[in-house]
Amino acid sequence: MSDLDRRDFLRRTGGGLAALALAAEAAGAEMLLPDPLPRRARAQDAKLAIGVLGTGGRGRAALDELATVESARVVAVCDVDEGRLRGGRRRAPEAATYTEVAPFLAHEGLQAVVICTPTHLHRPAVTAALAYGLHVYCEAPLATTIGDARAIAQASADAAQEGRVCAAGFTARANPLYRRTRELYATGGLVRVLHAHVHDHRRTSWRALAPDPQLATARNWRLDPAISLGLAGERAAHGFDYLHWATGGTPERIQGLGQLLHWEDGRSTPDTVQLQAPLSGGGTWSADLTLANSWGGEQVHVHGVGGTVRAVGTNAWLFKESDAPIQGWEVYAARIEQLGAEGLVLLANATKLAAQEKLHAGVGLEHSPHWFALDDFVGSCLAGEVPACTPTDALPATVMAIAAAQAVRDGATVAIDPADWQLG
Amino acid sequence: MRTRFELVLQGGDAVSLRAAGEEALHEIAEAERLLSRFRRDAVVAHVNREPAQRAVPVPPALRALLARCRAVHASSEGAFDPTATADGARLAMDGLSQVACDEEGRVRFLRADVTLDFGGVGKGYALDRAADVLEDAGIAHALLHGGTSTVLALGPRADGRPWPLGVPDPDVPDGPLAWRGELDRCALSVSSSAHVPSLAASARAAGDGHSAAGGRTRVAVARVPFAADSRSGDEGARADAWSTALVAAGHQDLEIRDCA
Repeated sequence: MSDLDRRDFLRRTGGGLAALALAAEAAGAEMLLPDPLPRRARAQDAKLAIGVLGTGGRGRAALDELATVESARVVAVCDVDEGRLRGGRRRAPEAATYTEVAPFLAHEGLQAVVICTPTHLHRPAVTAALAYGLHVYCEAPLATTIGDARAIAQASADAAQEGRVCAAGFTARANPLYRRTRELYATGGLVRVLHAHVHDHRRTSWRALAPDPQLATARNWRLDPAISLGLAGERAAHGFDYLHWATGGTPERIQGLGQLLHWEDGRSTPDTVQLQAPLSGGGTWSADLTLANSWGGEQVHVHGVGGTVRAVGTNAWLFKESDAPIQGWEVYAARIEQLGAEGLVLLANATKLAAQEKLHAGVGLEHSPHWFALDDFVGSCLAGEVPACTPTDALPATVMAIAAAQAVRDGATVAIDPADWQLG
Repeated sequence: MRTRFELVLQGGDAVSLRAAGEEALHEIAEAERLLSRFRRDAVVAHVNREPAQRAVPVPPALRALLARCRAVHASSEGAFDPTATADGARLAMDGLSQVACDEEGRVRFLRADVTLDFGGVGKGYALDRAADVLEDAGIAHALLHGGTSTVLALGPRADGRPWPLGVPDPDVPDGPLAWRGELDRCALSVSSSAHVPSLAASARAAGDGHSAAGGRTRVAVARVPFAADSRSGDEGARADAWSTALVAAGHQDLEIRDCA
């Protein structure tokens, strides 16, 4: 269903306004867009034995999510930092714990590893996990250098040839609502994308406290410009991946501005960043990221000739222009007023909900986007299928993130070369 | 959790303490995503949506909290019960007995009209999780509270003295404190009958001719001190649950109890 084009869609829905009027009388579920993310088939009792490498914030979040993924069983956790490992142990008290990577990867019965180390350590972690014959989920962005990112993607592609499942943690691709918006773009819902904006606001120092200076340096890797892509790379990468994958856009170059406006605590990395990225073929992306203001949190706006999509993790809305083409499903959609405009609520499983007459109860996802990404990985491993986001898929946005970080660091415009994400 | 949490951290530089505080507040936000009945993406909301007899995987933390709730439920002879109807009303039965956990770590309801409601223990649980990360970060002097009704003292103040606190009289808010005390390595929770309607309270009011609505508001203060050598990690949850239980089952206007 992911490649549903406009012609197919109109044929399925009867096309045009006359058909729409009839369908409105019948309240036919056929008028709704197809469900975008069928859950992967998996044997009822099948369980995937998983290890989580890295139990900092992202690793602990992964443990929380995996605990409610039906086919997942966390059997081992590893972190070289004992304090971080305690947090992991609390979340997976029945799992074996390790402070060294090799014995962790050799844990008896381990089938898959979720890699949540700092970004600059992804490459050795992925390489080692693949060498142990494991399925791998690697957090995103893939790496902090194009060389490392390409190496991860190539090694993962090679391993996939041998039946290994390799996934990357750009969660939008497994997010049922974001998949739904992608189909909206593909079926002409916005006619043409003009401008897309990544908004990532949070109020946090991004610091971690540690009992000793050595651990403090390791835990605060995100604030070290020598090893981190900073806000531009670590955060904007997720928005860029969504936009590249969902709308098909590719920036020609990225211009960056980074400033340290609030957290003057000895750091040198910007706490506030703006990015501008003109697209090949017209249109632009922009990104606005800060650690000093939390308004709006994390969201993406895609503005097109036909309307605007606002996607906020577990919710998404379409604000249509009054003269935009009607697709049909809008008749049944719940509506909400936001900032003076009426938005159509996008649902992930509209057909099923319509059949149950629960369309209005289905607003918002039942799990976090992170959960859907991990559930997709687990399902892919058990079914032997390709996951929603492979490391090869994640390569373009990683390249863009690296360019964005460079643009901010140098205060310059950095060209994007699509050859950087072509594997040989 | 629809309530305000505040942390007072002492004994370090402001940058480090803020970093620790942010991580603690993040744990509190995660506790809400675990226990909320109202957030669509919360684990408990997800469990509550499932039909009876459908086993749902839940995190070990939720299973451990359920086990702790069962212990308080048993010790309080059912006065504390973390279940409710789908509308959040108190069940006219022992709801917790209708919640089963299996060896796979899954939870299921044995009846259709039962849901989980950790409103009587959630703030204490969230404070426990926040204290975990503060302790990991080496913070030795912290006072945390949720909604001003559940408090946890992770050690004394930086000057070595305990943290002072008082409980106002809900019937005379501007009058003298109903109770005054000090906290050090201890969790404390306050509940009042004005906020915790209960079957026990209704039955007592009907049975002895004493009108709960027209009489004094009952206040229960439950203290759970840390063990001598270390925190067990559930002192906040126990204090919260016990204050709920005491006010539901109590017979005094003001009840103060050290609880196991």
